[in-house]
Amino acid sequence: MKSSHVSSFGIPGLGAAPYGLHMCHFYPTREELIDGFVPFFEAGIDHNERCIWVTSSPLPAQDALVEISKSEKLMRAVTSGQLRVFDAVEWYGEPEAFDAERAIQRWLEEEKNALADGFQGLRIAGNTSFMPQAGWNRLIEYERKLNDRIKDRRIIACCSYPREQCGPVEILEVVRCHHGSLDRTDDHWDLFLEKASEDAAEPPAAV
Amino acid sequence: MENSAWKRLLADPGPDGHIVQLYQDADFYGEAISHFAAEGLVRGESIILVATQPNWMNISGRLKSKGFDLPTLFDRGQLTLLDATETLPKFMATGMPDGNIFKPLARQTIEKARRGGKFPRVRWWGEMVNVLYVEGNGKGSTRLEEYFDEIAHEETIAIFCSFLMDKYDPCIYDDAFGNICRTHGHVIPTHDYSSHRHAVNAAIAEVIGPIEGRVLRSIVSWKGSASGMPSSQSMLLWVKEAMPEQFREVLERTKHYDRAHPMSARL
Repeated sequence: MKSSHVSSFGIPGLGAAPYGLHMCHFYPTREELIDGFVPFFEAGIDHNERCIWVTSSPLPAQDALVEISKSEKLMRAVTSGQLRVFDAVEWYGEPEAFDAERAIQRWLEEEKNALADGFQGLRIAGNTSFMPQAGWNRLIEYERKLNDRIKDRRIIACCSYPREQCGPVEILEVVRCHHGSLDRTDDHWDLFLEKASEDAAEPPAAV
Repeated sequence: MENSAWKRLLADPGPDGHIVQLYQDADFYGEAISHFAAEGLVRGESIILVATQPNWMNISGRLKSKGFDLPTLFDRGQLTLLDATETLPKFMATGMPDGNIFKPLARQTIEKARRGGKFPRVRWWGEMVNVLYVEGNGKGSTRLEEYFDEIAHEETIAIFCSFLMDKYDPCIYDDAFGNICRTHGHVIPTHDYSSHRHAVNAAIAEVIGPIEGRVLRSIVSWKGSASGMPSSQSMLLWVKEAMPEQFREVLERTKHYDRAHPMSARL
């Protein structure tokens, strides 16, 4: 049976999510992480995807599991192994030793395993707050490579950045190495796709 | 690490990379050009330099201090020096470069630099375009830059240009900077990317305020073509496009933080 190239975001207001999509998200609070990623992973479960949530402060794995426990669907997925939750340091190793190529290979291996296990794809979310400022360039280099490497894979990825730790230059830099950016205003979510995906003549949102 | 980005770019510009440097001080100018040339020499490439006499003194001194024996390089044909002031009139006609004269002249110079295949790769730095720009001939400068860009691709050579241009002058963003971005693959606007990044962040925080709500939405939805330059410079282009009424002030405050108090501009 042919697999669909499209899944769904699960995030309120956003519809279909194509596989190969690498998004970023600048979160202002812990609550926004919960509001965004609990439904994001519920949609992944609904679409029979392997889900991996790599967490960090202000929502470490232990706290994320508390939030997950409020969703019967997610709890069942944790029990079955369909949804796995890791602290960033547990998943990537110490930030000083962060190896972009190794991290990417691990994601690609996880996708391969997920498909071999009968899942439709791999859905991942990672919080980058574990990386200190000194590791910023390495992180951006990783994101650039990942952006290129997963675009033809059955992976949907969302990278979260703490808004308070990002200046405008960093925000632009992050946006430029993802296919799209999630943004929430009040209870409304939007996805802004990269230039290549939309009309290049479109002006920036008015300020 | 970040501040070595322009050095890496000049060391390995790619087979037909076209890079431009905006400078205001002789140190950054001389260091960038001598680095571009030196890295080409150690890679066994042939180097063409088209310099004015005073600037050649700056460049040649730095190449010598890097250990290069210039007479030997000239003798074996790995280094070609042309005088910018003498070369320009050969192809200028009524204030504009004549492509029918310039392009064959450039091709001839490149062919000679290849020395019958001894040096298959050639890199070229020159300041004729800058001479025209400084003289106030913006149109001639841009046209010549377009010819150089064509030559870079047609002859597969890396080209590096240096412009005496103040990146904090708001007037350049009306015309000149756009032309530079259009005719070059990479722009090196400053010698210190790290300081520039912190200065831009601090200036925007001061003039525009926190990046949230509609401001954040404007950045993430920006479709401006600002690739091939440091993100901090791209950010200034976003300000000009999205918040034009605050652009001059942001630029002024960036200049302040970048030059006067670079370390106080930390996030």
